[in-house]
Amino acid sequence: MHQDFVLVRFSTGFLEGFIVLRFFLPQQIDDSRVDSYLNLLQALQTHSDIAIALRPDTRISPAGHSILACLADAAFEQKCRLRWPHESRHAFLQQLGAVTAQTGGLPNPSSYNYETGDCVTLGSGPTLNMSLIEKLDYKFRLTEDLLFDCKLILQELMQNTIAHSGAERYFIYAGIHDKEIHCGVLDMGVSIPARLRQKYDCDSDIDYLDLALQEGSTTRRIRAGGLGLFYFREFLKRNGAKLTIVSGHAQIRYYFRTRKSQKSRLKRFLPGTWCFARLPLRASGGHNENID
Amino acid sequence: MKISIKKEFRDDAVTREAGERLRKRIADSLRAVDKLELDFSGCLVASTSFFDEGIAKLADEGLQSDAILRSLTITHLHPRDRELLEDLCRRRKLEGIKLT
Repeated sequence: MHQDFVLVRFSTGFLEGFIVLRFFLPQQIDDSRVDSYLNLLQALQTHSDIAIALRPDTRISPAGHSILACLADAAFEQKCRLRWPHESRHAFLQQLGAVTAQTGGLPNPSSYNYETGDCVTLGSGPTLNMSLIEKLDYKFRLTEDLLFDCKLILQELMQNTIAHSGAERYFIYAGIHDKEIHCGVLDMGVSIPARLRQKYDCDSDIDYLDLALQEGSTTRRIRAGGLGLFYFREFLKRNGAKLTIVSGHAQIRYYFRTRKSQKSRLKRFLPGTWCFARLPLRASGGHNENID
Repeated sequence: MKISIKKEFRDDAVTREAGERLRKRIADSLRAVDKLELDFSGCLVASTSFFDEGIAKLADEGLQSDAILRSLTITHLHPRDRELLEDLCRRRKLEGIKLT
């Protein structure tokens, strides 16, 4: 059975009985499996000190940086000390260690900003952050169509977060990874099911996520909308891409190229909404040089 | 009369709020002039919210659809923005807007 964590008991003459939970992150820190992260979120509520451990050859995808930022932020809110591995070769984990070491409350969301040649992660307050949108124009040398699709996706997801989540901050990312462009927006605010429950009556959180992706579903009372997530799905579908939404007690994954989907109830609750997109890179009239 | 989106909505051509401001501006202008041009030169909007709120919902302003279609011209749209706007207008049953 896969175990995320190990209890470690420190015992010195002075610190007898002091327990630090040691928590293993997955080898691939990305949007493919979220159970581990939700287990860690749960652990943050019951432990005051957790040491993060890495497996050999850990890889962090563009989505992974935003996931880790959400976890780091949640640790601050729960007043749990997260010890990030000092010896890690991952610059972002070293950055998280430095952020965690600061005192004085919740860090500025821009503390989690991170950029390499292949990816950008930005933390933002509850306003539209166009920095990453502007970077898309030149950073990844995408085809014109992919550029448009990524811009539309990110702008719609940002607006959804700002308008509906009530979160004070969110994380937005984009990056090239394994011949795909990954992009998405993550927040730890009001979940989609909780929001839609105000207006609709569904049997499960899965049904609420399904509803959110349909045209016209909205909680707005004055200004009708309900198109953002619908077009999010439609644009990923036309690209043969992958869509993942995790919120509340549910996750939905669409693999449009193979026409498969997965919809499942989560064992642990996500107090927020994480939207991930993976679009295949493809050549246009000019070849995209980011393809390996 | 011309509204330059790049100039007048340079800070925000994305949100529903900005779209609502655009729609009000269009409606007020159409009540005052016979012809109105929306110029999207230099813009890549890529926002369903802005287009939906700003243009596709024009009929909600109490203007007759044929009056809108007769008086309003939208120019220099990026091809993808054009495709998006056409789709949104179709959903709102505002078809036939002049897009050049």
